[in-house]
Amino acid sequence: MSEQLAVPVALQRGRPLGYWGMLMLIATEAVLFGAIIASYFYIRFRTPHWPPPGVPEPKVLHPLLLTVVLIVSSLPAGIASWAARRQLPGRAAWGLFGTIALAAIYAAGTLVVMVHAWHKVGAQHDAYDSLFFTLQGAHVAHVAAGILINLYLLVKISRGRLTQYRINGIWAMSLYWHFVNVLAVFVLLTTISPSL
Amino acid sequence: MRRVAVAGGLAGVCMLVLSGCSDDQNTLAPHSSAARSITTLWWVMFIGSTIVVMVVTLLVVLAVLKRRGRLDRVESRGESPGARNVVLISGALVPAVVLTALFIYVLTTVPATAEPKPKDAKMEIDVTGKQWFWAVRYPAQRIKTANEIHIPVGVPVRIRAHTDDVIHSFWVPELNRKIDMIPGYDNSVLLEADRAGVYRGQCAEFCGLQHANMAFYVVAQPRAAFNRWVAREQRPADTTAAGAKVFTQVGCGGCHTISGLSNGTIGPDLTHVGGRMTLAAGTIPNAKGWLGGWILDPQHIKPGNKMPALPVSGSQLQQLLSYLESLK
Amino acid sequence: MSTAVGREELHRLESIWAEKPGLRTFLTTVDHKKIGTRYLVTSFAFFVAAGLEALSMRTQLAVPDAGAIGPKAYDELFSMHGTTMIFLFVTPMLNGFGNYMVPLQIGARDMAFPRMNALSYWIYLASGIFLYSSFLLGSAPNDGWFNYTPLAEKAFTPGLNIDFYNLGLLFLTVSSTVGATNFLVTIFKLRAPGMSLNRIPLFCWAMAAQSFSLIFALPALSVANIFLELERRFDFHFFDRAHGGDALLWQHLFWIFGHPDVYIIFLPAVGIVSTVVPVFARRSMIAHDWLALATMATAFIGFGVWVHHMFATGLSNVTYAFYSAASMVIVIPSGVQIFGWLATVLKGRPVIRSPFLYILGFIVTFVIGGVTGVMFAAIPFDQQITDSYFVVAHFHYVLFGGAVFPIFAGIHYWFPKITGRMLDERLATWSFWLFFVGFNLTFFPMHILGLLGEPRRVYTYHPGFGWGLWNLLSTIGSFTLAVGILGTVVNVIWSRSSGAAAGDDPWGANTLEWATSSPPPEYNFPSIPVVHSVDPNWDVDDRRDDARRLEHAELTLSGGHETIGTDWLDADIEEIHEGPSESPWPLLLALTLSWFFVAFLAGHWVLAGIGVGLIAVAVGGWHLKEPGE
Repeated sequence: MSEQLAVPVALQRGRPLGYWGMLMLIATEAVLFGAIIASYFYIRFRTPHWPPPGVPEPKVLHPLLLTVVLIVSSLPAGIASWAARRQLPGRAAWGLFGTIALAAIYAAGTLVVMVHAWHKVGAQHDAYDSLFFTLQGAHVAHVAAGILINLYLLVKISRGRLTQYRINGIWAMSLYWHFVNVLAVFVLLTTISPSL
Repeated sequence: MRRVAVAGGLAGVCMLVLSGCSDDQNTLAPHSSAARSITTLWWVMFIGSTIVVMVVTLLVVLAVLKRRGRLDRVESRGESPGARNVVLISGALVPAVVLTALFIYVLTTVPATAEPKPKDAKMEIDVTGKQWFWAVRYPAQRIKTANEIHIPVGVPVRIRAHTDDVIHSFWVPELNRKIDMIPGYDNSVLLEADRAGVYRGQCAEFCGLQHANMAFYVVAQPRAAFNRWVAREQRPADTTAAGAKVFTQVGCGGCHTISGLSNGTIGPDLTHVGGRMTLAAGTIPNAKGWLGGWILDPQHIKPGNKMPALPVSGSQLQQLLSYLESLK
Repeated sequence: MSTAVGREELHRLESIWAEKPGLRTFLTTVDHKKIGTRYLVTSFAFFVAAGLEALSMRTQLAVPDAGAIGPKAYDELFSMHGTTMIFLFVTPMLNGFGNYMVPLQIGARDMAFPRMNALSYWIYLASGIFLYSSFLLGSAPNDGWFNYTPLAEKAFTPGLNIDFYNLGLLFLTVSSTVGATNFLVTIFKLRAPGMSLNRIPLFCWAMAAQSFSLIFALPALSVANIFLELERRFDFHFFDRAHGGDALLWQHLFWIFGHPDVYIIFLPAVGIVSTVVPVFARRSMIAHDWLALATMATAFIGFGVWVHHMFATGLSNVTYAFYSAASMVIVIPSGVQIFGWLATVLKGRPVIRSPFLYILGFIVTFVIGGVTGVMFAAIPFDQQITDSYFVVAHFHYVLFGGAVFPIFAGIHYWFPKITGRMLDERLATWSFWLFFVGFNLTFFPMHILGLLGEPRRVYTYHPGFGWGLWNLLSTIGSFTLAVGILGTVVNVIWSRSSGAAAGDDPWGANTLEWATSSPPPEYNFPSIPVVHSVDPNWDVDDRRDDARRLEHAELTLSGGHETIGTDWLDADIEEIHEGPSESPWPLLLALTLSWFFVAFLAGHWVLAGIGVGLIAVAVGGWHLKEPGE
């Protein structure tokens, strides 16, 4: 490998490529949700009765509590990333575990809310319901995917070393996690907006 | 310079050819002040565009005529401040000025072709696009017809454009711009013909298999002739003729309305079909032979349209044809 | 003058980077050059398919009431023609050039994510096959490439046609998104030392602008596709009035993607123009920085004009005025680019060769398309003439003129680099003129047809409106164009084996892909180049320094699949990146995604669910082996 270089060298190492790749993924997913939320409000402002007659106003308390639980999971996610980058596998593993646990509570609780709502009025009733279930469902799906990936990372670092590749993975996933949590706020505000 | 003269001459020939070419659906043969303002806008932009294209083509030709270089020699490495300025002036500044002027001009043309409010018109006609014909209703005169719209010359008429199924677009190029017919939307366009004539329109939003054969005619008539047409349309249809019985027997009434006889809405209203110029939304002429062919095999003429070939005997057909042709 | 050290470095690089020829490598390669070539070949095949669809349509429309092709077949033809050209030909073809040339032009050894690069290609191929298999079922998409609701809803198009459309596009989107991410990270993080932001080649700027646009535009289309598919499969409601939906929601979502999409197509194409012009003008590009800015500005403004596709839908005139203004503003950056190119040629000493012919053809045709585009910004004129053949003329002038001409320029320009051989100039020149004349004969009459009132998307028309002559001329033109294209195809096939040897740099070009052999070795450059100007291959001393560095094993990065990582602004060295070698996971993941989409199309929910599981397994398997293991 090369040693002497008559070329300028940056003073600090750059972030891993996966970090930038994750940022791009977050950008595109943010626009995806932006388009769904924009569609929600587009339809809303063309509709005199929102929710339409016969559809109950959305619950506020349960979704709000669940969203708080999810946002709190940013803390263990951040700890996992910080610990991994400092080569502390034990703390990183606990951080991942905490993230997964809190996210699982959110996912299970939200699914319960959705199933209840479906039994009352399904998605096939009106655009209001279709938009609600699509938006909420898309978000829960992103949380579920994040849980799976974090589980995978947790298993890997519990059974093996904390390699640079895995550190980069945890770092990138922590970005994903913060994104999903910020998104949760927007999704919440949108879905409970008729009750506000 | 010879090139410029040739190009100019060509443009002139084009103008002559285009405005004389055909008289039915020609955007360059406007017959209303709205359509004329669009045509004028077109000519202004056409002239400007021709100049731009000629300048660029000239520059390309000049480039080719330049003294040639060689692939094993680099001509120049540096920037060229003079050339940069030319790039900014001709590429950004001049277009900015020209486009600003164009934009202002465009804004002044918008009101002439804007969607009319009720107070902008003296008459209202409801047109509903359906796959693949036009259901027409005159609320004030209490007339229902299809595929042919009569209007009095010189009178501003507000066409309310709706649809029963998919998006269609109501377009009579010689009278005004097009307006889309969108479920749940109340769009409208103003028709005011400045001379008597027949103006063809055609659906201008892809709407399925027979989009290509969804045309209509706007007939602008002097007041007296228009009033006579209205009176004819208001007369009830004869429901006692032999053909009327055939109409019911064969089952035509399931899709078509003949007032007093049936109430179908899947196909066009036929109460006064005999008086129309064309059939099947401008697809075939309204003549006995054509009508007979249509009834026997609509799928042959307009494949994919919603009319089946109902079984009808030779004598039934003759009676039906006489009856329908009599419904003027 | 080569030393033992240098020779040993080359040896090491060759053994690290070599991919054994054979089926296994074919299925597992992550080499950007092989993947780029695949994109080029596959997308050209789709070009031919879409071209045949066009020739069929032109045959049917040659005379009034031709009766050759009925509406069912015709509707599938025009829908697939547009869908294929836009999604399966022009963007992938440009991405093929991007894939091959971007790493070379920035002095890197591969893309930032080589396996994702392979994945992009396999998904593209799979989604193209998926879409075209619809023809075998007699259910190709048939409601236009723009697929408006309510027509595209289940009530009006009950067959699988639209499900093929929605799922095919969703599938393809994964490829495009992954590709865009790859290009952005590559261009901003893997450049050669010294290639600061203002020294990035204009083609790479164009690929970056395209990639940003893809990231922000694709989701709107995906949401539209997802909504419509949920409607069709599970009776959700988004677009149908009867249940609170809105038909125009589809149009907004579609065009919020659709308009940026034309710049997604156009920008890399003008990137090729900006690559070829300085070489054949024999001088540096004038206002290189303005042209880079213009590229980014076009991409950005392109997101603010979409309502000009909806001027006839009855929205408010205040709204329309805003979008009309924005649609005129976007002309400005294009104007800067056109005059930048013209100034460079006029201040240089042009050399006329086949790539340059296509560039000159591009300038003329694109400007014609551009001026009719300005006409469409004039609201009342648009309201009169949209959805007529005039708009068909316009977009073919800007898309064919603005993208296909540059693509053919790219083919003629880069063929020597990719194959090591030259194309036959005489055949290329003949082909160009047939191409140019054929193109104009095909599409210029369409302006007239639109002015004469012929609507678009019609399978037939009747005599008596003056449309017959222009349609016939257009058809003759289309066959002429086809012959011109055929000439290039013959030239490419023949020259691959029999063309003159090209050498490293037959054009005397200024960018780094010409600083290595033709075709390049697997590792692209023996030592990573160091760059000090915007025309690095014209800096003879710098390139000699590269060779000297090889002899001292400096910047040869021969410890593995390595390339250099630099900072995004000034390209100062940050670290060495180790990339993967051949991997089966991209193909496997693409196959699991195919499983999912086919199962969903068929309505087999259990199989689709299993597909999701398989996808998860493939993603897991992808990360099983880490670089360095």
